[in-house]
Amino acid sequence: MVLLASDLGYGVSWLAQVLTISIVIATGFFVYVALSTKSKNAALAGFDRIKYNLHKYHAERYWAIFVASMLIWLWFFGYQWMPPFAFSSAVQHPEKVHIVKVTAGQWFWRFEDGGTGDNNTNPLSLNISRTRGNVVNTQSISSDNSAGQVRIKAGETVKFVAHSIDVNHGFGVLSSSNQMDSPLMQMQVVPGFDNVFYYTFNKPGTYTIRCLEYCGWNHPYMVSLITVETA
Amino acid sequence: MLHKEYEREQGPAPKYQISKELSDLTKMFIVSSVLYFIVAGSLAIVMRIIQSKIIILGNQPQTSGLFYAALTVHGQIMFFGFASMITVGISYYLICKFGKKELFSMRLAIWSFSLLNAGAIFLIISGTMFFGAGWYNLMPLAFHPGNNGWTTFSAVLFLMADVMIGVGLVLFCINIMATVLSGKIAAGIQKTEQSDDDKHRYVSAEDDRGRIDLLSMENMAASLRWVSILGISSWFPKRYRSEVPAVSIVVVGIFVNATVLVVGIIGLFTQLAVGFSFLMNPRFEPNWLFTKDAWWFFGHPIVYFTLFSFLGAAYYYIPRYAKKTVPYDKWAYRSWPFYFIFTMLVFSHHVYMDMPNPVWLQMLSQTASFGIIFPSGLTIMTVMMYLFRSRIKWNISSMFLLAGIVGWTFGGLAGAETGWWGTDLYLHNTLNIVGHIHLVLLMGSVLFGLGMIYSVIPDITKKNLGNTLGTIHFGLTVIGGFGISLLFTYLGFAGFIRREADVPQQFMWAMPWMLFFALTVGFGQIVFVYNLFHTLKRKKPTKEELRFELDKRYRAEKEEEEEHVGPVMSKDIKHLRMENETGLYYAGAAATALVGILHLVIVPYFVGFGSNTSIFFIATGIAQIFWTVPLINRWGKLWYLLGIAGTVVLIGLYLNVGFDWKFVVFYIVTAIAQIFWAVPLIKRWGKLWYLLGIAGTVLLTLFWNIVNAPLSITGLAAPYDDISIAVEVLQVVFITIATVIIIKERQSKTILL
Repeated sequence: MVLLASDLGYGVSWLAQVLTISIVIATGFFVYVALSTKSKNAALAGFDRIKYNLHKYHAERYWAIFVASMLIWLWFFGYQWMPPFAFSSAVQHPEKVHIVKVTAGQWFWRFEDGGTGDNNTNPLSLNISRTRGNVVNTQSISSDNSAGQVRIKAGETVKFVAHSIDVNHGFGVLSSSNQMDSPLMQMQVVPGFDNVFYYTFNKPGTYTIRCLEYCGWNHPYMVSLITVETA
Repeated sequence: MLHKEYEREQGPAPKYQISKELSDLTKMFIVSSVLYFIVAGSLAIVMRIIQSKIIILGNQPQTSGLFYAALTVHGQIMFFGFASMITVGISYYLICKFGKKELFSMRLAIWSFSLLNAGAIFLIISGTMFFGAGWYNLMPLAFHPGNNGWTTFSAVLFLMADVMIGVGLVLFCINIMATVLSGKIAAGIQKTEQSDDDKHRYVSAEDDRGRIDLLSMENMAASLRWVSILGISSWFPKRYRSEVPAVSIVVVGIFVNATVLVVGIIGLFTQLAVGFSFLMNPRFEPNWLFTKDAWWFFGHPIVYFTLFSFLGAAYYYIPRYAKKTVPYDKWAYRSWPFYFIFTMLVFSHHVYMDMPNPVWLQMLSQTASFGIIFPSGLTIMTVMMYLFRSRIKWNISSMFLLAGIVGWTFGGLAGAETGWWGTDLYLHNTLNIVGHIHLVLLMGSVLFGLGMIYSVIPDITKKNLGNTLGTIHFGLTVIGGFGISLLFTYLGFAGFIRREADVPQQFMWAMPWMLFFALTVGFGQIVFVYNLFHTLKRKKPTKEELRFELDKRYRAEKEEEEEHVGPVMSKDIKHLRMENETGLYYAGAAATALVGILHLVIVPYFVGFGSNTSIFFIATGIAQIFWTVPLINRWGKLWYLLGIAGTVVLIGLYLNVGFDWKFVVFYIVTAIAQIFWAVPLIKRWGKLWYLLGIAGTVLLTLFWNIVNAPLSITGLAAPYDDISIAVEVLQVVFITIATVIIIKERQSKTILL
């Protein structure tokens, strides 16, 4: 089982809320300081006196300690999501992992079922490549519209092994079948390397695969679909 | 004394006289950077027009090609043509002014100017040939454009442009480092740290000690010089710290900037070397992962390069406009060693999603991201403390500097969210990242740069830029810039993937807004260009004209000051007693206002994150922030009523969206109530009102607990999450503060009686 931020209940809406609250608080602080320059106190107490008081109470020292403690706490909070830790249980139990081989190129995706663990005997299955807007990507349709389908079950950990035949691409699985939606997971597909990512789909359904790294003029049309079946 | 009179207008300036040669060079840098800013800004508008589908060239691929060429040139010209150019020009000027010495080599400075310009022109030419591999040019895309892409020749032009820019930047770094490290340098300002009794006492303009223009020229030993120039000495214990003469914080900022970049630029040259080798020998099989890592080793420092010089300068320019000289403040210096180290390491978070990278690099990324947040947090706080109650003169320059700090902070907060690998998964390469970079660069570096132009041009030419045009420029830039940057950020949350020439239908609603904000910024810059060139061409005022104008302003300021301090009315005796407790009133007001805003933030829970809610979210956010102004500035009842009415109208707009009535009504009513309770506190209406606020809040807290009880008696289920908890905590804070105020007011009355 792979541990990612979403498994802990932190998703995009949480990030949007945290940022909104932080911006509101920061704005309040800036407005307060800016207005303080016009307040009666600015005339009564004055710049030097205020600085003296702030230093007397070591305001900056406590602020530095607060920021540093907060960051150390956030570091420990976030390290569990780092690849070496998040993927550790999947790496230790390869027999429970379903391998899916991904090939990326300008401008198509091709998928191949690699079987479970070391048993890579399943035959080649579907690549679904489709176009969007007015452009027909003839290259992808002519060469890669083979039949079959990668069967992924909800709850099983999938090991995506991606390689690129030309330039850098971004393998992104979006959280729904919408052509633009928040990414559930993503990794860069760097040419010349096997790029590996583990992911466990919890919900059955259809997900969109998008290229998330700019790879040329038809980059927006490098779209595909993946279906996750009920376990 | 023209200089003296000018100072009365602009605040005290360091006495070092800038040579005519340097002054001309600075003007050349400013003018050329502003021109590139216009070019890059126009390309941004072209992108918005294409995305809005207002123009489609012949067929879709050509339109896409134009979009990506515009995107590429926009990015690099903004970085190198504008932000780097203005940084280099103003850094040359500031290092002489604050180091109180000539540049190491004027010839090198002119070469760096010429190379940066030549590079920028090559970039534009490659753009006209539709070269569009993106500003960070992830190889091998430059040589594999796919069907109907750009030519290899345009790619070569682009690479050559980067070579020229790289060499130009190296010459700048060498020049700055040589200027600072060779010969004598102005130092000694830490002497203002006094005995234990008043060691933190700050000097005012009347007190000569610590005046930056009274620094002595010292021939520091290399060891002392390095610890001082990198700000390391500020972390020494007091007795050792006072043994190391400190240099000006402006010099520290510029020196750290040059040192970091001279290391980081190795990454750019590595990438370019791989690129040229691949072009000459197609059989050569480069390690593209290493090439990418190398690029980002340069790609992050160049972002900070456009900030550091200005951050250092902010420590001088903000007190300057408060008519004060620069004090020695160890906390201002303490962030710089952290910047020095982490700016070189923080590139690692750009390669988060490159899974083949070694584990240490992946682990470093999170550490380095947080490592850079620490000094940033320190800088923001120390700069804001220079401002706090300072009676600063709010002119165009100081307003731009403050807005720059605000934008940089917002960008930093957005960046902190992507500092975790686990959360970057959702945001990487979405428009959220574009929002982050625009907050940091457009609303950070660019605003700092513009603020500095408004300061430096009058210093050099003794001619102020037009104030009214400046205000219009500031207003349009800030509204458009924050509008587009925050819109990018929130569209990224909604899943808008970056670099999409062909925008899907679900996000088309945002395109007119983006175009509107981009045009707003654009119009602002046209006003600015007119103002700048008009000022530069304008005849210098005669001594008499200047004296007359300055005297007029000086008298007006004096009158305002006297009015401000004016005698206290006897009926306010009680309030005078409580004057020291103003913070309490504001804290109470802030708590209740925050509760109100958080209530509104909760509302979108019931409808998900759709486009309508996004508009509502942004509109109410801006409105709520604005309505704090009349409250704190005490504009009067009419404004408070307007604020409340505005909230109601916004709620009315929201009613058109599908939602669960019960909660929306409940939260909206309570939101208004909470926001309203800020009014009695700030206006100090008296005990009855405070008690009413406390009673209402207690009731709401009880109601919330009933609704959320495990066996709900109401049959409803309100969200039990972080925002709700924050709301409850703030409500308790509000109750406590309001109670304390009532008790304190009662005590102060008793003492007076």
